[in-house]
Amino acid sequence: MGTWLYRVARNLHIDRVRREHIWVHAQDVVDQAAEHDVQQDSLAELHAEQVRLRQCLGELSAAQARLIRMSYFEAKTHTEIAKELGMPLGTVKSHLRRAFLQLQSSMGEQR
Amino acid sequence: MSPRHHLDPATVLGFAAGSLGPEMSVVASVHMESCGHCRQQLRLAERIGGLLLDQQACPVPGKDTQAALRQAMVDKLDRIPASIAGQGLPLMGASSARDDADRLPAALQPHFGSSYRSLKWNWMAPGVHCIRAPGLPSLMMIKIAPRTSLPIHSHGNSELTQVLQGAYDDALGHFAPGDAADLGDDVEHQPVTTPGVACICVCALDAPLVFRGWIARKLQKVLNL
Repeated sequence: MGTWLYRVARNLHIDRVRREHIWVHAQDVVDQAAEHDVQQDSLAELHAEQVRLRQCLGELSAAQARLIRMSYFEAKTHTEIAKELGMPLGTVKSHLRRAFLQLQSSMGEQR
Repeated sequence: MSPRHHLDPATVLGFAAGSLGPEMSVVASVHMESCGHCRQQLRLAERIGGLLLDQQACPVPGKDTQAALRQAMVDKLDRIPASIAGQGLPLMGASSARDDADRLPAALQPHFGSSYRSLKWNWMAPGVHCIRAPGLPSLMMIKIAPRTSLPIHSHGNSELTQVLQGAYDDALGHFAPGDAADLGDDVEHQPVTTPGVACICVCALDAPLVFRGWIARKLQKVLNL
């Protein structure tokens, strides 16, 4: 439910506020391709993963958490984040990459 | 098509957050249109967005605001998305797009048309042709003749390239149809196309390329790369 709400909120913001129809179309294309993707997890497994994911989000380093929030809530590109924080672009990307892989591996450990 | 080179997780995260630039979003969606692995990564990135949203401590709006927000949401759910209803952004059936060798990926059709055969290529350099997307000058399709070596270059910021037809090799490996080259400013490479058919790619740049050779640097100003 949270993911669904997030997707609706994000798409509404991009469509209505930013008026970026190019982005909305790009998203539609991916959604259409995903229609036949197999979802193997049961509801119980998804819930367990969600709990674990929530816990791991709280365990990210301060730098990782800040970059994740700037990306999701301020919709800043990697380049904009790098400029604002005075960091090399590669450092921004590697922080985000490590955070994402950390969250992903935490879900893998659950299985 | 089974891609071996995928999007950087940071790029998937940016796509899920809606924070990639438009050119990068288009190329990322071309890749994800044919890559189940990256679509799975995207699902995780969107779940992270859902959790972050859930953790936000938002003030509860008044009853009137709540009613207006609810109505806006219902209206949104009822209407056909503008991107599907018109505005020159048609959606193609994913399966038919994959089956038809002449059909461009759906994500590219609003910018370049629907058919490879109808593309109007512009000469760029010996063995290299390109088309820039109208209104998005840093989104371009490139066609490189077989056995062509591009000048050694790195990137001002990021380059995201998706191979559509043909293939090339560089220090990072072999890139074939479906593969994405998601490169940062720390990567220097020299793509060399493989023998056989021309290599057609779509790429997005968010800063000019950085060429090592002086001839390429001189030409860069003329070619606006």
